Amino acid sequence: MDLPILKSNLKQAIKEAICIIGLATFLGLTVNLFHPKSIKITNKRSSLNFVPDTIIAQDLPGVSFTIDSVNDFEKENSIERPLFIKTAEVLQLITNNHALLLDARSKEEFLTVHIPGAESLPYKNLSEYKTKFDSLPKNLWLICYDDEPSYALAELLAYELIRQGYKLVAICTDGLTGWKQSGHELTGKDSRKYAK
Amino acid sequence: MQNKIWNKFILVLKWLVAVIFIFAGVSKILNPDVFARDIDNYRIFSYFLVTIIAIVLPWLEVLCGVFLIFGKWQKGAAVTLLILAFMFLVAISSAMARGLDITCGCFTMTTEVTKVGYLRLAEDMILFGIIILINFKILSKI
Repeated sequence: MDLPILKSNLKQAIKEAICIIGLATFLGLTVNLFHPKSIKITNKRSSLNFVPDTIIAQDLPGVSFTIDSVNDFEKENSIERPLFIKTAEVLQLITNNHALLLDARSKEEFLTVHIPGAESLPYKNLSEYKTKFDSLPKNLWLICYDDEPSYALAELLAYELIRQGYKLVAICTDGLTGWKQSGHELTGKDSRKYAK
Repeated sequence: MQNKIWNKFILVLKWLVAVIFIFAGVSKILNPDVFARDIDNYRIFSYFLVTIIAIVLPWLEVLCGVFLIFGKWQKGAAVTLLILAFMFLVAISSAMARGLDITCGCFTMTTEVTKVGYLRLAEDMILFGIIILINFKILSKI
């Protein structure tokens, strides 16, 4: 290998790389201005959007009322993303029959242990669950959960649901672990083992 | 003859890498919010840097892929991809070392989620190796 050629090529490569990075920065920032899912450049993490207290606290009289409330809340806060809720809020919604829990993990993991009343909707095999995915109730909160601290699968599932047109979508940030730690009942093949 | 075959082999690899990066970049451009969350989950950068990376990196991937295919600024594209692949390797290794159970954020458009793990690490190492070969070929050319 010819060292001088390599050196000169490397110099040229660095110059070109700087141009490419500059172009990418320009394109990225410009497109971000008009992108429907644009990111706000900030140093502050956006605080989690918990389901508004006004909706949770009320003993919701009807479904249409819930959707209107959420629509108003979305309009006021420009929210086009799932809301984030904790175990306590999930319990309230479930007790009042205003929510359906969706387990974003694999079917196998779901069968091993899950939250009672939850339905399995594995994000990794979503195409196999198309019928179920398309026919979820639109009058209930769809609460996604998994067992990761980063609730990555639940979040991805929640975004898919929103893209599909579902409006009442939330992510239980505590997930299965939080549910277990707060001493609530679990069900499934190995639920006893997990409950310990 | 052998040289010709070698050149063709490198050309195929170049196209393969370019297509992978263009696809990865486009999927991230379409879902910048999900990609930002994925980067944030690595807990390496401040949130300010996360937002900048989420905006710029996908375009960098797409541009490098396109330049690699069309030949313009090919050397720059190859070196940039080498740096990117190295950064991905470091990020995945660091996440694994810290026991983070997160999705890698490589392709945000696909429904098939790849979690950070040995398989992901092996895939990235292979990709890194291929990009080294491409760089070797491009940078040693007169």
